[in-house]
Amino acid sequence: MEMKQLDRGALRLWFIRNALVCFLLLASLAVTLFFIDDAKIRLVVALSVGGVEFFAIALLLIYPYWKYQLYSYGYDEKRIVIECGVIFRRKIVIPICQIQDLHRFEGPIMMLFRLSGVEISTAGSNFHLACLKKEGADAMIDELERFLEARVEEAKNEAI
Amino acid sequence: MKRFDKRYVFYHLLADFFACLFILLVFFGEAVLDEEGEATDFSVVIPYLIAGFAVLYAGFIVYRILYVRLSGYELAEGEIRCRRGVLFRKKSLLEYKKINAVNKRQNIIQKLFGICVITVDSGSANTAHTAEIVIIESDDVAEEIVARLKCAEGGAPAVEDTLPEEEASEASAYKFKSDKKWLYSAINIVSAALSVLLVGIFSATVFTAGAGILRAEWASDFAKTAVTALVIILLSALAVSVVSFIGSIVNSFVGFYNFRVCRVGSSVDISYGLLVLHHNTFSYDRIRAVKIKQGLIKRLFGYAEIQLEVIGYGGEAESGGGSGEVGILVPFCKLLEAEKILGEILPDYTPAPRSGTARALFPFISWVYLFVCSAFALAAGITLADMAILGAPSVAFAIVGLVMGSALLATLLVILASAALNYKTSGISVSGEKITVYSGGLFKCITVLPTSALSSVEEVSTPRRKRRGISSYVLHLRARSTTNEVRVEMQDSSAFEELISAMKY
Repeated sequence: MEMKQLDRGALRLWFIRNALVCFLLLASLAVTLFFIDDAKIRLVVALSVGGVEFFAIALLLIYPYWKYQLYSYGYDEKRIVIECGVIFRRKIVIPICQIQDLHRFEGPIMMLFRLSGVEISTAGSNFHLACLKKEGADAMIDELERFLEARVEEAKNEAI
Repeated sequence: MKRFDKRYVFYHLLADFFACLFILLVFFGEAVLDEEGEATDFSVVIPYLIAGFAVLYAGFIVYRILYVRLSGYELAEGEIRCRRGVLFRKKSLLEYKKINAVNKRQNIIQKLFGICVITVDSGSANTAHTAEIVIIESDDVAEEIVARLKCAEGGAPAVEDTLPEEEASEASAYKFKSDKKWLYSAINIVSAALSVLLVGIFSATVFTAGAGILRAEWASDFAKTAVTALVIILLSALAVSVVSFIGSIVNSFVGFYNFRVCRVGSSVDISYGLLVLHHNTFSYDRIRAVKIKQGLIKRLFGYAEIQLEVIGYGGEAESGGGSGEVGILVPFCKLLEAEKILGEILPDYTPAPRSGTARALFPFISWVYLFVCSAFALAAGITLADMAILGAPSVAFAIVGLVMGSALLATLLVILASAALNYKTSGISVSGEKITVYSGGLFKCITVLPTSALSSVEEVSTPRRKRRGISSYVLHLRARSTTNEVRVEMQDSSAFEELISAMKY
């Protein structure tokens, strides 16, 4: 099975999302410090909250690159395989016949980059394939539906 | 359509009376007190209270009457139909062949009025939090309905329907006798006592440090408020722990009163309860997994409980009381006895011996220790730096350092104990059509599931562990979302291929 990597747009999307979060964190810290009069307490808040935010921001800006490098997916007529994770690498195998529904979802920033996510629902668990090209997501869903129909037919014939 | 039993209204005449009293006391109790907290002139307040009670009670009763008039059910040729609700009306239709579980529930007041609540569940994950069909009927009619549903679904009539009480009790594969109940209560009390002791020791440490902080002149109002809030939380935890002492005794003798479990045709029948009578019936082919669970204290004494995972099942009916211990097959038995009981009731679910064990102990603690120590270091660094800036005396540094150091040491010891137990327990066995997973640290769990219940498999590892051939696995089951994952840690990487091959494609 050929494993595919995500579109480059996914990396841009994750950077932008995380940059927005960083901006919100810094803005909230700045606003909080602005309303504190006492210099000592201002220093305390800057040190404690700022220290934590510094680590968080560093992680938020580095993490998308690693995530993009290590994310891949593939599928054939029998199964779907997703590999993801940075420190804890996950490999998920989903048989096609276990699929209950397929969904495509897009957020506002994803729409800007013409990206879509695919959600695969089995009986009891959901799995997300992040940030595929919109056309690629549609093609994947169509193909998976075809494989699923073929598998259901096969199962019926086996039963007969 | 046949309407629900009218006695439901009379039952609620009594239940709602107390509910209204409770509501009035909670929400309007302040009305009887003046600004200084002293009782006002009752002759002024009482007419208003009575009027309020009358309006509230009348509202409840009108709702109950409308509920009975607008609700009903019908046992048609191939399906059961049900209609219920007043403001939000619901019409449900469930084919007999799709019935997953039939349960009968009756609390002590419903027993006085001779009514009970039957819930019929289809196993749909979307409605796992509530049953599709709810019927409120008299005892006799309810028995007939349950028997008819079981026959229509394909099972044999229940043993309890055809045998006298004593013979039905004898036919039960498991008897929760009084001596076992005392032991069950004793073990629960020891577990609760241990929690109380740990919470007590931690509370005493925090109180001592907190008392020092609160008396200190340098402490700001904010620090005092934070410490006060922490003390209140700890006191509440202590109170909850003490209440569990009483709860465990009541639960074992009253909650599991006359516990019976037996295999009847193609379904499993479980009944128990004194104040709230539960009678659950699960189709054999809807059972997704069996879990044998042991807490720390139960492990010491060699006891366990057995639970069922039934597809899409879990939660409470809209009316008629809580769910109780949903899916409990056996509440308390010897671990060695568990296999024998499963052999009688569910022979396909007896656990297989472990063929794979945990590869190493260090991976169980490495990352957890790293995260915990980093978090503590960060918290300690920030706290001590803040105290230095605020000019705290050296004794405060010593107190805070002692408390944080003790908390860190206690946390690391608990993690180590859990990891050691997990290392000893973890294992997996794939044999034929069945997978047995051994997992858990402080709370051990043996999960037996058929390969057909597996919806996907996940391998989790780090680059270093992968090089050493160590992986953890998450098995996703076709079950309700809160319990549909079974994890097993630090196994051989070759087990992944076995699991993939075992799945149905």
